[in-house]
Amino acid sequence: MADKAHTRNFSIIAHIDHGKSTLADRLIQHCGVVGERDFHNQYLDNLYLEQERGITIKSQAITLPYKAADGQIYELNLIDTPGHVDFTYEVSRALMSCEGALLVVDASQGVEAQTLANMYLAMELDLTIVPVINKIDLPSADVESTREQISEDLGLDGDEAVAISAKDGVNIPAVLEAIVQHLPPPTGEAAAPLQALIFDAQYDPYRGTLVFIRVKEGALKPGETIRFMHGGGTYKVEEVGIFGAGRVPAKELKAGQVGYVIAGIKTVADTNVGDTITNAERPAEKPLPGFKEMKPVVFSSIYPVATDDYPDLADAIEKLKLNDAALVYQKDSSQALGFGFRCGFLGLLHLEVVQERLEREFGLSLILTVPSVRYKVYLSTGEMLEVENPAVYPDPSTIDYCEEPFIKATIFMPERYIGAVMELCLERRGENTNFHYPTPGRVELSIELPLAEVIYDFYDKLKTVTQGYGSFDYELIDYRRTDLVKLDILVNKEKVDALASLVHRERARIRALHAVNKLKDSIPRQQFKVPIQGAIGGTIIARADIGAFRKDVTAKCYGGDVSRKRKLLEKQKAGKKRMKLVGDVPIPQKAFLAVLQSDTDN
Amino acid sequence: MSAELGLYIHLPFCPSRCPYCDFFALPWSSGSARPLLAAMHVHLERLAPLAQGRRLASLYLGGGTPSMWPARDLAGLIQAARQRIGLAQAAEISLEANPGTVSQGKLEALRQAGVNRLSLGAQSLDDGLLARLGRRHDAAQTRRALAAARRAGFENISLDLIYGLPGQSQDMACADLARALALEPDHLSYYELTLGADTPFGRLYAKGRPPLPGEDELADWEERAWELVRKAGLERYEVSNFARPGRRCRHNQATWRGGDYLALGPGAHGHLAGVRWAFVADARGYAEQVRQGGEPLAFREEVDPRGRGLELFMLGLRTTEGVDMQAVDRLLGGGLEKEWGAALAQAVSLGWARRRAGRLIPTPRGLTMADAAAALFA
Repeated sequence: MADKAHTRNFSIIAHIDHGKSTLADRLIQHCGVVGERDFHNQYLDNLYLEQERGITIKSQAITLPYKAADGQIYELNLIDTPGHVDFTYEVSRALMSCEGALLVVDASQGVEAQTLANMYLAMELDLTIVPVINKIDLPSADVESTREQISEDLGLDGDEAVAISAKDGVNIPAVLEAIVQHLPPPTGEAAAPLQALIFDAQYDPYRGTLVFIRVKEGALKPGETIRFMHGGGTYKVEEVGIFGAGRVPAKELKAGQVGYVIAGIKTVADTNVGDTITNAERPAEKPLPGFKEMKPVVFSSIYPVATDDYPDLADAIEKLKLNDAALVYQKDSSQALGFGFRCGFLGLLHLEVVQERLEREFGLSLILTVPSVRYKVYLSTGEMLEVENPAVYPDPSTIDYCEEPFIKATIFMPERYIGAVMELCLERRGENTNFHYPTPGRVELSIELPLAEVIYDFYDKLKTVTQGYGSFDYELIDYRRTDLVKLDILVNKEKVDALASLVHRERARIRALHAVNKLKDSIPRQQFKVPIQGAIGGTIIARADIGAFRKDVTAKCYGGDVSRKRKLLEKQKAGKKRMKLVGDVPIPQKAFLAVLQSDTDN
Repeated sequence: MSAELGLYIHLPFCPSRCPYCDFFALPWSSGSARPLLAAMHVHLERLAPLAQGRRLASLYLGGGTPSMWPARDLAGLIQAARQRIGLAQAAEISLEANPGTVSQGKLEALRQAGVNRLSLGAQSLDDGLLARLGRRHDAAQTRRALAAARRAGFENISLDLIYGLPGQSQDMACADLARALALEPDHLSYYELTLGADTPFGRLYAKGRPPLPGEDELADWEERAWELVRKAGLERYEVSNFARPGRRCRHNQATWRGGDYLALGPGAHGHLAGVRWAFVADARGYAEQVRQGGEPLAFREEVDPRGRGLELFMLGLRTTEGVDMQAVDRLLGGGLEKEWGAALAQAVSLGWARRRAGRLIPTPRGLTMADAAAALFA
């Protein structure tokens, strides 16, 4: 096992599509960790969703043995980080496990908002950064101006950047040399009390939870008893090891190393990313800094389309939770949709990931209610409630005031889109705008926005108005006072609980119009006129009517049609029994789906 | 209940497949038509005892396009029915005909063979629309066929017309109808386009969405159309059927009253006192099974009394004569009010039907809502 001087721990920072996974693949291949036969592209991305969409959701690690130009063997630990704003905290913990990072910039796209955000994150953690210019094989590649951007926008030395094509495998050894020469070796004393940082955890059905760690101080080996300094649990270590082509058990893990621990931990939820592992008998004085409990910021209820599928949904969510500590859920029920779960997510992508996994891995058809943020509701009594579910929003007459979470958004775009983007941001109640012009023709806009406005189709709209050229990143900053109302949707004068939402008063009418129009198009006509209304308390703010049926008759009915038609009537009767009635109107599931769809198409 | 007996003969072949049609039809091939016809003769002989001595009050040759068969084949089937089962005095013998398949001589031969009611599948008298419907005939052929049928002695001629076609406006539809009425048919079947899920039209268009007319628009057309038809001296007697006095289709009326009818041919349906069945919709399979002495059934069901009652409401509420509630009451052994009292009251209170002299008679509004009205009794 390599000593500290021959160890390097590093991450790769890149914007989506700038080639992080491809570069990782080349490094792995070059170091010969995985035989050609076992290799597949995006090697570190286990989830099919990651491979398919080219984004990394969970952190991964791999140890690369590298024989450097100086003839010595180095152990390079590559820690692959999630590549999306929803997972900023995981990214920060993964980065904290490293001494350095490769910053990948696309030679034709240049620096983007996410690159910048993750680089600042790395700088805050005192990481040494080596810039890499990728995709030099593209005809549109402009290496020289990319070097300039790196110098000017990022404040790094653009001339030092290694220019490569990960796709074609050009200049990969230069990257490995740069890692050895420019990144510092880890520090820490193997004899000190144990401090190991948890940067991720994964569920293994045979061994329980696999905890990914970076040993900062001390050492740990099988048989020892460890304690989670924040979580509080104590466990007996069964196995430690490093990541090669698979898990490679080791005798011990020492300060400076990256690896895994298996200690009979039942679920991933028992571990917290960012927690510090110490030795229960000889504990460290204090945990490593920067621990934050992961808090969901986006909430939505998930219901099965067919109410009888609830047990399957319950089973699927439980299984998913084994490997997704960030997902929180509790049982929920709706008069219109039956039983389901109220779930909390780290962000919209996280929500989407969970939805897709439930649908694809478990074959479920789902309805998700309008995503909501968590509001702080201050009552006249002085009491404060945290409310993310419209169903528990208190009587407005008892409310003193409300607060909602705000984010600071960073939007990078070509200059020509400023007008359209500003319009979008102001419509979404953006404030405290700041422009920065890092290079001619490009603008970095920083603006404070209510999170609630961002989780509702903001990113789609941004992509639309910037024709795909806008990039977006955000961080939560604080809670601010807001004029919050509960928007009810009524069908034939009766409230549909699953369609209620909490929304800023100024935005209520637009939301209400969207909902009533979608419902109007998706609820079949009845024998009577059906009003669809959006209301705040007793005040109707939007209305659309579904006209009464004028005609309901099949043109042809002859001798050959009798049996089929009678059976159809009997079947319809059974179907009607299963459909949810609101105000005597059967509401098909597709109506719920239509309302919850964003209106980016119109 | 009517003791009259009908016979429905299904002849599945067509000159070509129309993109809106979801009836069982096959492109013509004499290689399968010959053995099929032979099998039908054998089958008819075997079925005859089901009549239990009753003669046929009606015989209906449907399809497909039965008129494309040689006249002697059709005459042979009618003759066989006459010999094996027997035809009642003044029995109604209907034939569905495509305007492009009937010559003067053929029409005379058919009239000679006993066909006394001709249903001409005109579909439209607008050549542009006909082309879009995939029909091979044009309006002039329909006019010629009708005139030829008159000359051949047909006194009961029906026209089939479709409306609510892609790209058709209200004025176009009414003009089309006026052209058809100008031909002075004795009977009119006036159908809204039905989108069969498995037809090219069904895959191409959605009900109520452009280029098809919207639901409200269609309801407006219909009111205008029915007025035109009424003025032409044709009376509405079923959702889509209109006739001069004495020219209603007796075969179909019997069906709608829950009457008995035997079936012959692949895809044909029959009904005898609550037993419903159909033969396989497969010309070769049908012929083969008959040849081997088997019964080529696609299904057979014995409908329970409640189901039979539901059928009577479902069918009767589509006709202006309505439902014979005493017949329903007899089926249920006197349980009409208990089973359907609430539904009857609802149909009346919604303005869809009136109760009069033991019958439930749909209002004009009720006829337009016949499916919803039937659903009350499900």
